[in-house]
Amino acid sequence: MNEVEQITKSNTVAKLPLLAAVVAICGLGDAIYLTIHHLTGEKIPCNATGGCETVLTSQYAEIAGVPLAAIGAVAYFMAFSWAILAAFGNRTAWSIFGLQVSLMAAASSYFVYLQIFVIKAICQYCMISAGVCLTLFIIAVVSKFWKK
Amino acid sequence: MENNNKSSLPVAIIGLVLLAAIAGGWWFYTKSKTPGTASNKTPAPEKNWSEVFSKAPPGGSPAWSLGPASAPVTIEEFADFQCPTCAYMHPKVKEVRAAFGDRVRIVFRQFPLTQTHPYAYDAACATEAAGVQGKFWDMQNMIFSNQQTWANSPDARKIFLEYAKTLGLDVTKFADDMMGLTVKNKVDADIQRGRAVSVSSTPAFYINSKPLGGNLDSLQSEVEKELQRVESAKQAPAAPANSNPGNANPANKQSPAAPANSNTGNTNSTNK
Repeated sequence: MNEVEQITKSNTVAKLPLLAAVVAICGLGDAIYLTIHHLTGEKIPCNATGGCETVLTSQYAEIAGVPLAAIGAVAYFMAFSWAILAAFGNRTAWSIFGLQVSLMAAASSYFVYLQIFVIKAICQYCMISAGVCLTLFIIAVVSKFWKK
Repeated sequence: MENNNKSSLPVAIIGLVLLAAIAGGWWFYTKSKTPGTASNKTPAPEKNWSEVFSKAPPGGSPAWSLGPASAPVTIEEFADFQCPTCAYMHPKVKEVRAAFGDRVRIVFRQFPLTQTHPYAYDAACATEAAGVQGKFWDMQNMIFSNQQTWANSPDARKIFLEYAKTLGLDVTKFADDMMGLTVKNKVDADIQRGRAVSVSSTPAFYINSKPLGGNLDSLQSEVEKELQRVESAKQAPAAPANSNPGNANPANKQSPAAPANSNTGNTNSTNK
């Protein structure tokens, strides 16, 4: 690999953590929105799917009394932090990011399964969150693939 | 020096985003908590709710209610015992009752969301069965207060039997009633009424037959507003009684077509 190739490659890899950070911020906003709605008890506008209240008031909306959305917000913030550190050259942070978003994608898949097959209602905000998790996971996978 | 800048920049970005998230979250939280803000929307306010309620089936009879039938404001609540927001609102409803006393009547309706909450229907039946022995409100309180315990247990019915024992009920009769058709029919009648008045999620509150939309925390302030409205309407000299049927208050305006308690069916009132 010549020098030009190396520089081009390293620039591309640096862009992926930045992209991941931006995507994670979208997830963070979504999770904060859901957390606030959970805490205030305000009914959530749900035009696209109509099942938000059913999902968000289900027994799966909390884990040991903690709103799932709040846990999601913390997870997105952590993913954002790892991505930013990685964008500035911290390779360990990017490895941790990869591990974390893999877990988040797995959890999101389970939550989508719960919505479709157990609760039988779809919450659009939860689906956005699942989409964000999947995107973060794809970014992590692409970055690994790129390195090889 | 350059290295120092390199390592502190990402930390600064992370810190800024954290601050922005906290500030944004706090702003949104306070905005949502303030009654009368843009987010405090009421769905479908154009519906003639008095008409909707007058056409709706009466629900389980007698309905469980607190406060006198002559109270100027009636709150009809449709709730699901396994819904976390319903449990959250339970003490808030008590606060409303404590704040307004006999000026407010609270009618409780069963609306278990059985597809989402596997024990909600059993919980509804348990409260109704306790009601047969005169302990509906005690059981309601116990079931809401311990929601996490029974909702996460493998056998909620067993826990309801324990609650019955704690409340000093005849447990054998309670178990029979809980499984009996009388109690189920009453719960089903409440569900039918709920569907007829467009309940789509729980808890659903109707203040003098008008839905409380948006922020559930505004319940007390909305009740206060309705009280003021009813009281000022009483004091207003000879306004045409039927000028705005959509806002009619059946509690202080009786007519052969709409008797005082027509919006809530027959009620079983207890002053607790």
